[in-house]
Amino acid sequence: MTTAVEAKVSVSPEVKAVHRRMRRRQALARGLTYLVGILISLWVLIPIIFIASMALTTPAMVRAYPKSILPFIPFSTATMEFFLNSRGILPGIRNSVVVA
Amino acid sequence: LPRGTTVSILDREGNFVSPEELGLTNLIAEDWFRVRAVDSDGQEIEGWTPERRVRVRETDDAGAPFSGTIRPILGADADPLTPLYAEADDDSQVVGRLESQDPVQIQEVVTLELWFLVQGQSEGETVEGWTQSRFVRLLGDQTQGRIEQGNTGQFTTRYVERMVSDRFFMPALRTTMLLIVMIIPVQFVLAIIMALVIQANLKGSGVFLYIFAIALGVSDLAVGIVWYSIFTHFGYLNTILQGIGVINAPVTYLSAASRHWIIIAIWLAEVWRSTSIVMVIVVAGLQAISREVLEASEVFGASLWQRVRYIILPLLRPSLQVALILRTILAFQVFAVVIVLSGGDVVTVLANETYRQYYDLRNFNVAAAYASFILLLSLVSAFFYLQAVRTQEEAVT
Repeated sequence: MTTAVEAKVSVSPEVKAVHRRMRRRQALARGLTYLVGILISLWVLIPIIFIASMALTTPAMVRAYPKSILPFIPFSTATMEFFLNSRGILPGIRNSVVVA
Repeated sequence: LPRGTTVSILDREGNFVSPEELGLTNLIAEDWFRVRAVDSDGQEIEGWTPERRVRVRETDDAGAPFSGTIRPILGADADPLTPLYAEADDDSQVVGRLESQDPVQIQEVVTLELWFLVQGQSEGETVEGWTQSRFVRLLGDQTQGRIEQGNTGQFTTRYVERMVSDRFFMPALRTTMLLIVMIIPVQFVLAIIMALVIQANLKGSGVFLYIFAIALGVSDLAVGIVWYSIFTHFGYLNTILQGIGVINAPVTYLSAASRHWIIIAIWLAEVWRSTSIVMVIVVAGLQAISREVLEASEVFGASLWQRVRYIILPLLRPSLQVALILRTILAFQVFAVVIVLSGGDVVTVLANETYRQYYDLRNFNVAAAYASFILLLSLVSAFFYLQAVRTQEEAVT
């Protein structure tokens, strides 16, 4: 839309100024939209990162306080292995699949 | 006989009962043993005797009894001999008698439900007949009883009354309502913003759709655990707050003393979890709005707020109505998140009370009353939304 208008009226400096303002506003709106999108993404992702990092660290770290804000440090599959080896996981998964 | 009738119990008799029914309230079961023994004349006899006449001495690996001795009969005028019957019924033919302490081999065990010959008043007439012990509650000296329940169905408001007078009923109802009022408006604003971000047609905004929809795939129990790990005493929230120096020592959020924090945690968890379903519905609704209308409004210089207020929201109304009904019904059923974050005691909701009545207290009828109450609330709210939107439409035209 903008390019077509630009081609016709590019001569007038006034119109150019209006145009620049419009572009700036559009860029601002786009930036704001991205910002909002990223903020909401963080809101969705952060709890998931927390729980994933808890699942993929040592059992000692899960109980530790203060927790490390940086996730996956130290990275360990011990907790995950404990979960996978505990009794009832495989039958549980099978039942879930059958029901689904 | 109607429920609540007082009856006199004239006689009792055992009848076969299936093992699944043994858990029924009031059901009185009696075990009978088929035993083989040698009587005082040295003759081998075999017959049935009730379990109360035999002291079991040995059981096999599975716990089934296989040998025992006859118990002594107490009382001066009692028959010192224990009769063995031809069938598992003390009215059947006596096939032999055993003295106390006689050893017996237990051949077979049957479980019988006690039946009572009862007599009671129904509509001014005295009726008499046999009934199963499961329908009767014995009173005092066991010669009197009261009909507790039937299998023919009868209308009663007793369980609804018990539900309403339950001490957790009002707190549960209040919390459920409070959560609905707290969750739904925030959720709808957030969902519409999410949908607008996705529909903004920016480069890479498709990625947002996938990220926003992640929460849709997480089960509510897992969401409860996620937020528990954030709000618990040694959780992430305290870690972060202490890290940036807002607090010096971890704060306890999820305890009986800080009920409001539990509510806030449930609120955040529910908003986190179920906003995406509203978003999906709103995105579908937005896609149905024709591009021309939006572009026209833009050409005429409508601001974003004006476009949302006068074009997008009115055109989204059908989708919002669907989402509203769905979300409200789901909010009445909120359960797992509450269980995880509050343990189900400090903060309770209607669905949790249903579970408590059913599972912990074994009051199936009261649990059913709770479930029906939730259904009723859902129906009323759905009807309310449908009605509210229709009147608005009529007002417009």
